[in-house]
Amino acid sequence: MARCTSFLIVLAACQGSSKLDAVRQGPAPHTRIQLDGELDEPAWNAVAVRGVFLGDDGGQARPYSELRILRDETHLYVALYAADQNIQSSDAFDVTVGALHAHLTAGGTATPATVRVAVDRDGTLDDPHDEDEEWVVESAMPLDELGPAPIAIKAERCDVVKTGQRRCGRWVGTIDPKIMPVIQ
Amino acid sequence: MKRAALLALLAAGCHSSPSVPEDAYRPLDAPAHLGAGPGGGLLDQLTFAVVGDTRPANVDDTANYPAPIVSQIFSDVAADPAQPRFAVTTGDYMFASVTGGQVDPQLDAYLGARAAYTGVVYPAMGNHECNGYTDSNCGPNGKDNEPANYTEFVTRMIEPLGEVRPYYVERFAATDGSWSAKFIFIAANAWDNTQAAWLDNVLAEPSTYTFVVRHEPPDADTAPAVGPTTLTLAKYPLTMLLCGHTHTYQHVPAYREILVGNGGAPLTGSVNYGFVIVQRQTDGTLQVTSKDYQSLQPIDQFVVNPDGTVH
Repeated sequence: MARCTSFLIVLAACQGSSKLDAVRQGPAPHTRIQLDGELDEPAWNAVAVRGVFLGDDGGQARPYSELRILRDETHLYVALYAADQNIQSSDAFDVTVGALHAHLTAGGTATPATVRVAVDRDGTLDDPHDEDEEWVVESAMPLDELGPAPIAIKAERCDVVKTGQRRCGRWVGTIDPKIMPVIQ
Repeated sequence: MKRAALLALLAAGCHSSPSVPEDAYRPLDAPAHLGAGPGGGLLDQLTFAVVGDTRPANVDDTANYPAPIVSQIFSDVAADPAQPRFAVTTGDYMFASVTGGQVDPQLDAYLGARAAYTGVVYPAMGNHECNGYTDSNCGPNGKDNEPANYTEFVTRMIEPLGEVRPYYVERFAATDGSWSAKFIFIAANAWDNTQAAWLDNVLAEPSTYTFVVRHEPPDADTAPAVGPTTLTLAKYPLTMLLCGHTHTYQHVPAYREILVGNGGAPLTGSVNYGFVIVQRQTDGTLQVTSKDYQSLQPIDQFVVNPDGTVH
């Protein structure tokens, strides 16, 4: 807790349905992001932009989703968390980051091909008989494909829960990579 | 019933009662007393709350611990018209790596939020009180040893109840001797032969109601104890299996199970955060009500018989 309070919150680029967006600016931890679907590098908790998805009713999306964003010299790292009772390989986030639109699936695929991705799943893929917990997609997007700052971001996820309902959540915000800490 | 009558005598202050039968209390449990406490107690009414799971979405992210939600839920429990005499929790109070130094800060956040309810809370151990993996196994005989997640859980949440192990039993009885209930807390991620033998013994004790609290539901069968305990449970009477692990609420009659995992951890389904109240009715049945933590409206309500069948 103490490590986070030392960071100055300098930006709350909140538009539309996002409400927790912020950049905690401070010394960027010297931890190169390893694309493995595990958000265990300290920077993800210490300095990332973070936003919780909201549902159609304006409340926290159910099932829960959240987004975190970091950058280094060449890439924007976008991590998306999905709580999910039944993980299907076709479950996906659709993320528009400036000029780039990405489709990132729980099965580990990403379009366009310039977006690198890794997925960590707590549960079984394509098995509706058991109870799954969550999946995390960690992606790297080339900064030079995103267009000029500030960069508008829209992230959306729809999921069919076990009761058969299709439920959607989204996060909309703007970031300025120029004032984000650069991960070394 | 014999044990319940004895407890009633004890409650009335009868000091000339015979010694406690060997099968009534186990060495790790305190004698019964009025109200919920260490070992259980004598109650005027069998009414209790169930809450769980309560962890953040990302590992070591203590800054985003769901303390406001947990605090609201326990405030709701404290104010519930049914006046629960105690609460049980289904596990996963943290999401902390074993070396990241965030175990105690997250337990601080949890216990601070839980303090909105001043009654006794009996916790079950979750996989995040081992190393986080569902198939993890901690404790003196576990392959994953005793990380801080495990030792601090035992020290800060179990030992204040007078227990020394993450698995234990609490025994309750009516002050008028009309019913008895045992709550068996399985530590599914601290499984060993000692716990297996203990479980057989405590399940064999006769009681009107048998509640088993185990973090992982039957479908989460990579947890070390789920397979073995499911077989053991099938040999004995069972009123209700109280689980968490999946972050939603569900009633699964086939397993006599209620899954209460919507206590603040990231929700996996469409059900909102909330809690469950179980209340004994005058006819001996149990009314189970799942409530939304904001509206307090019922999400689900049903009645079960002491043998676990739906009424």
